Amino acid sequence: MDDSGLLRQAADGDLDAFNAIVERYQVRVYNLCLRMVGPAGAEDATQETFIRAWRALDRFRGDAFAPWLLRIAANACHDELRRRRARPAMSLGHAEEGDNPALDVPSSARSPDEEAQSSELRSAIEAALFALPEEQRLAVILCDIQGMDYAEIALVMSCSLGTVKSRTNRGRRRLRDLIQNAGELLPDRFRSMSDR
Amino acid sequence: MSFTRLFARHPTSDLSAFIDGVLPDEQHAQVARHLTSCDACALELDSLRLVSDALRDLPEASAPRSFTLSPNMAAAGERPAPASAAGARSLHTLRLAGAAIAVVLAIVLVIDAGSGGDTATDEVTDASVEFDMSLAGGESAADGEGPAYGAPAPGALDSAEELAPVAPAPGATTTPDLSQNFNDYSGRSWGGDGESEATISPSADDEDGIDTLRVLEITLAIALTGIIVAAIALTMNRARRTE
Repeated sequence: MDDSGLLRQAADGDLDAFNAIVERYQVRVYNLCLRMVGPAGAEDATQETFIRAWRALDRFRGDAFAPWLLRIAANACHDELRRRRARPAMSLGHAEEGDNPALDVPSSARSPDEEAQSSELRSAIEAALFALPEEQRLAVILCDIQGMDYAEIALVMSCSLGTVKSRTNRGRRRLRDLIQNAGELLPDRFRSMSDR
Repeated sequence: MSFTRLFARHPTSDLSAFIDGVLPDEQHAQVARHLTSCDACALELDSLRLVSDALRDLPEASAPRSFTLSPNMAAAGERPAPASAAGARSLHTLRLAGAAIAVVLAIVLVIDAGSGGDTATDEVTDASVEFDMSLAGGESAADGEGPAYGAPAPGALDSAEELAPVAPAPGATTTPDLSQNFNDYSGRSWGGDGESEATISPSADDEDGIDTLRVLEITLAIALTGIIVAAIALTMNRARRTE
């Protein structure tokens, strides 16, 4: 059954239908939360997203379910980050302090050298991502990692296309600068970029 | 490089959109033309493209567990956010209060309308006393910093006198002297809020009580407006928290 059919059933109170939706979108939501708040809070933010979505399902209109759901996820992540700022000693994770560990993600089959280089680059990018301002981080994640177009990102972020364009551009440029600062750790293409 | 191109605007803010292919055709063509002649922008474009590609190459993490909801989690009262429940109660209270005030305001308006043309020349001689009785505490809620009703504010009479230096002509009863009325009210009950008083006390010749209705209307209208604004703010806040 397609999303709209499941959503209609879920809106009528069918929890099984809603859980079918959860299973379809949980990887996507979890990855957004993982990149936004880091491993420490990603599970909680993901679970919170689906609980909020279930409660708000009767207010969902239209067929742009993914942007609607990711908007809820973005708000859940924002709340999590705000809680951390309020209690920095407790949970300002390594992610936002700059010594972000490589996230536990599966890797494809590569040679040891390629794997080492890829791992360094991944770590540098992930650390740089967490150093971005929240709105730029969200724009870059939605665009480059989630693969959304600007119109969908505008729906998620409740802003104009011009703002999406600006945040994406500033986020990428800042990421570029941060990655360049990691110079020696990076593969050739990034080292040559920083030498320009 | 030509002189024009040397000083042409660098489209640095458009480069990401250029990479993503979302610029309008004409603007896309302009940026493309600029890139053929500007090495700095071409390098900038390459670096942004590298960043974008590196982000796209990040592997997708698998979900560490299932996030499906159990019946308990989905049940309405299972995980209510305390603030949300409190917000619902507050909103309900605001709605009741707003409805009650609207009803009272409607009644007062009907009574006021029933007084016909007399309202233009309403009596005010004892109005201040009635204000003290009917509005004690109510205006302070709307104003927030006014003096206590029933007692003159320190210096209020003095300031009012400065604003009304001209005494009314003897026997000038058909043309009300607003300044004099202002003085009267300021000295007795309104403190520094003489301006609105003057607008609702145009005469000193008519029957008792009508001005009280007018002030009641204004007070109720202010209170109703405040409640509507608070209810809208609370509703918007609850919607944002839910999503």
